[in-house]
Amino acid sequence: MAQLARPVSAQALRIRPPFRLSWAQLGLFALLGILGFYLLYPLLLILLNSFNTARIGQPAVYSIDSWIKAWQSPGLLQALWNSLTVAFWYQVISFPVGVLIAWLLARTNIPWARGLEFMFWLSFFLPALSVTLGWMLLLDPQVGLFNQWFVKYLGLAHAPFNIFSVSGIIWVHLMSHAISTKVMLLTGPFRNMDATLEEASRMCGGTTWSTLMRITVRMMTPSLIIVFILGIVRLFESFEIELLLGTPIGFYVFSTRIVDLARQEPPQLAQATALGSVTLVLLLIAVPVQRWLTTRRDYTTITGRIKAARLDLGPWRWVVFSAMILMVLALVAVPLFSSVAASLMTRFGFFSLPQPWTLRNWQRVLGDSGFVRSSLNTLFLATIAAIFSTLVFSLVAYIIVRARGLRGRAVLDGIVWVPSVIPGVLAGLGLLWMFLGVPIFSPLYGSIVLLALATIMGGVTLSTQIFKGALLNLGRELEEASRMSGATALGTYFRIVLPLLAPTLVVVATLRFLFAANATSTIILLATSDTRTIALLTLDYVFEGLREAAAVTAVLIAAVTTVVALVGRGFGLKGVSS
Amino acid sequence: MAKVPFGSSLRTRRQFLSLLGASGYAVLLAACSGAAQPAPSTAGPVPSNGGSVAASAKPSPAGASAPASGSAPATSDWAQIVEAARREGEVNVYAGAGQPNREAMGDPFEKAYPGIKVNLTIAPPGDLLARLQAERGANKFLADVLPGFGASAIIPLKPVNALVPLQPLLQLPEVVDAANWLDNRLWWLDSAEPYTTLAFVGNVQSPVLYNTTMVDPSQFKSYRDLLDPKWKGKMASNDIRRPGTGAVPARFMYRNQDLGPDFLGQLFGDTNLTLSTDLRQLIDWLAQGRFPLGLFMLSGDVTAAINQGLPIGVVPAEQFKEGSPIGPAGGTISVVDRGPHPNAAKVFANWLLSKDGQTNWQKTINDNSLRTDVPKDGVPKFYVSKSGVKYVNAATEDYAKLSGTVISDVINKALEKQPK
Repeated sequence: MAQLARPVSAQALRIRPPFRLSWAQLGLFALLGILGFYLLYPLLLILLNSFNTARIGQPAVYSIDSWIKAWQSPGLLQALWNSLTVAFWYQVISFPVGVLIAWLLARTNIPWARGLEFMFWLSFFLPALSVTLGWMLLLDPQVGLFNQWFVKYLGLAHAPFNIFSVSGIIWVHLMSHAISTKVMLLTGPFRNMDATLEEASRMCGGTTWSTLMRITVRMMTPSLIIVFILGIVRLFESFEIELLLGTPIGFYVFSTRIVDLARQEPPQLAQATALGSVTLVLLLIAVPVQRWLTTRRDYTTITGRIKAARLDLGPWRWVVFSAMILMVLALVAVPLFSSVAASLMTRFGFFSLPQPWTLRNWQRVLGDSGFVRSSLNTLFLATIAAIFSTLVFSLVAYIIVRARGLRGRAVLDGIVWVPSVIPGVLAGLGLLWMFLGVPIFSPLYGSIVLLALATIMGGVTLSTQIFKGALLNLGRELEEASRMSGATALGTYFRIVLPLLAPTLVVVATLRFLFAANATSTIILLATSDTRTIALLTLDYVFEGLREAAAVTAVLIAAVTTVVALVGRGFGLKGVSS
Repeated sequence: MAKVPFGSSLRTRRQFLSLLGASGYAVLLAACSGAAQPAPSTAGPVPSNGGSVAASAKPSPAGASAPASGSAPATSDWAQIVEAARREGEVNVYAGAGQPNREAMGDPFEKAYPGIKVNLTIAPPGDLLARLQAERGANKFLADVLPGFGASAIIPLKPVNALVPLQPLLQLPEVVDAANWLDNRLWWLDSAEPYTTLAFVGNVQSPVLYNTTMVDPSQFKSYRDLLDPKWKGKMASNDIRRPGTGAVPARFMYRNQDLGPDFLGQLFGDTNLTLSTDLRQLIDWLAQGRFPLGLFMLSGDVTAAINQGLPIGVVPAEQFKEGSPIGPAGGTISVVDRGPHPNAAKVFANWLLSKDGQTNWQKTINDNSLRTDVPKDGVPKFYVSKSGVKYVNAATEDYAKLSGTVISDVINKALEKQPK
């Protein structure tokens, strides 16, 4: 009887409203159709062609030989185990550190919090290659500067650090994007949290730590889960760090195996696809779990009455501040020096050359006959990707989170994860097949419009999921007030929801700008001489062995992204305050 | 609080049906993706087939009556071809990444033949072949010329008639005159007629590089010297399972009677060789002394590193008793069948193989042109063939078939033997 007397919440009842064919429902079906086709069709083409064992130009012959061969290749299970090992330590270290830093920056009175936060953004803008080369310069056991100093000044018999090791790989991942991504994505949601909940916890006797773990972190569950899964997906795609640091010690990971297969002669695309399907399996498990975790309860932290109090750390704030400065130095100074120095050196890392410093790399890049056109193309694509991703995918996320009466939201939520399933080296091919095969795209072949579509697709998962995390923390009352006052659903979305999402919009727009400016594998098969971008120009330099010229373009892209981020943050913060 | 409906209901069945019809049309449109488009007409040497989207013919910006410049002879036939090429207005060149294509081909050709624009599409050759295949599968014939593909283009494209016989397209007397080429012959890469792919670069390709502060190169008389236990764990190698650098000497070793697959197996299985796919990293390791010997990495990157003053040397290939391989690096040309600009492609191919084209190529890339009338200034000595030495061209179609599965299988098996 006691159980009968308990109040039953609407959430617990989960009464499914009767199906009703409304304009909104039709709109959702249309969105499902368009996005489903746009996102699933390239994946289906890649999967289908992975069973085609015929050589280029020959009639199709279908069999499962490639899949069997791929999974029987020697060393594969070791590579998978290596990937899982790196992923484990990557997440075990970076996740709590990233969450803690985001919380410190957003919820405490640490000095210069906004500036420190932007330093993490800056760290994210610097390419993984620069980070790796920078740390190789310092921690190479033979020629690394740190190692040489330690041996010389501390009288050590051997170099204390070896960057060519599993711990070296994990270290460079942490110093590259592992921590900075989490800080970038989580500081905003932490900052938007209503302090009333934390105050209530403390009033009930909770300590700072127990409040953080039992209230703050729990309320942040949607963003945390999404950031966690995005981290794993990103790790399974990255290969530069393992390629440079793992090869000398015979440490191969799954992603390098996929790239190796795709770059063999003839390209073993079918086998690469077979191996790439591991990400699909990972997501088939992870996506339903994240959906279950994020929809089983209410995570509202932003309401109409927000109280933005910050925890006073007392004198400890200077200790925390000093530790944060050290971390920022490690995260930013090394790759920044590496990028800028590389762009100004005859050969990066070789200081003993007769003329180690030169401006020739800058002259080469700025004087390249394709530089101006490539720059304009890059600006166009990156801007389109930034604008489109914020406007469209925030709306998609809004539908997934808010359109409770409509059928198909779970399917939509699943579909937006699809692009992250396709390995980068195969995504370009899938898009090429789709754009050539579908009549509505065919007339646009060779134009920059298709490059824009390909670039936008690359950001579907990231953009939508970040918005989803933010929206799950956003209370409904302001929107309901807007609707009650006569505003339409779209009007409410543009006039109420988007301004509240301003910090997230800036994060997504900046991320998309950066990723679009750096995109290569998704567009390389679609570009022509008129539509080449700076990233493709960079790729040319890398293939020519001109890593120093490539460093020039990396510095330029990071500089432009920094300006975009600063401008965006200016607007974003104004949006919040207004 | 009252629930606010997310959208208004669809009021009439007519509204619903009309929307359903529109959606159905969209789905049908998408489903017709495999429907064949009308194929453009087969290209002959003079009439352009046109019909492409991204590369449609444009009127000559320089004016149709402008006289041909460059190295063209003043024959009426050639003048007509150049005139037709100018009417086509552009040539679509699919070039493999890895060399300064714009400086080596694009800009100088446009200067030599004003009014014919070079549209360069640059990507790794494997990617470009996949793109070419996909385009042709969709009845889009956009590429005209494929420089730098070598036999990699012949193997997949010639059996499906995607390459035109190149010999009939060569019109300039200075190009077809065998006396202008090394060994008094044109260096075709096809194993049988019709010949479609010509090499115009012949770099002697020594597979062994060394750190000049650590190794005396004169000690190497045979490739088997690399198996000496003293080099165990002290050699780094480019991963020759990938296309490109190192493929030619690897094929040469595989076919050589004194070496063969057994030698390759021993080299990759017994010497604790460190493999990398990053050529730059390999060169830096060699220069830093991390590894005193480097294998299968001779390329433009090495030449650049030596010019920068890094302590890297190349063991002369002529020093090895088993012989010396020679190959074209990226210096090859093929012309694509049903390309949209057949005349411009013809002019481009002839110009690239002319003395002017080759002089420019050699000056920009520092590779050794097979034309004997192009001075060898600036070409590294280790690339240039010596008189009286017999070189093996391991870049032909027959040899190229060894790359990929055959040699990769040998190396994969050998690597399985290596202690983990």
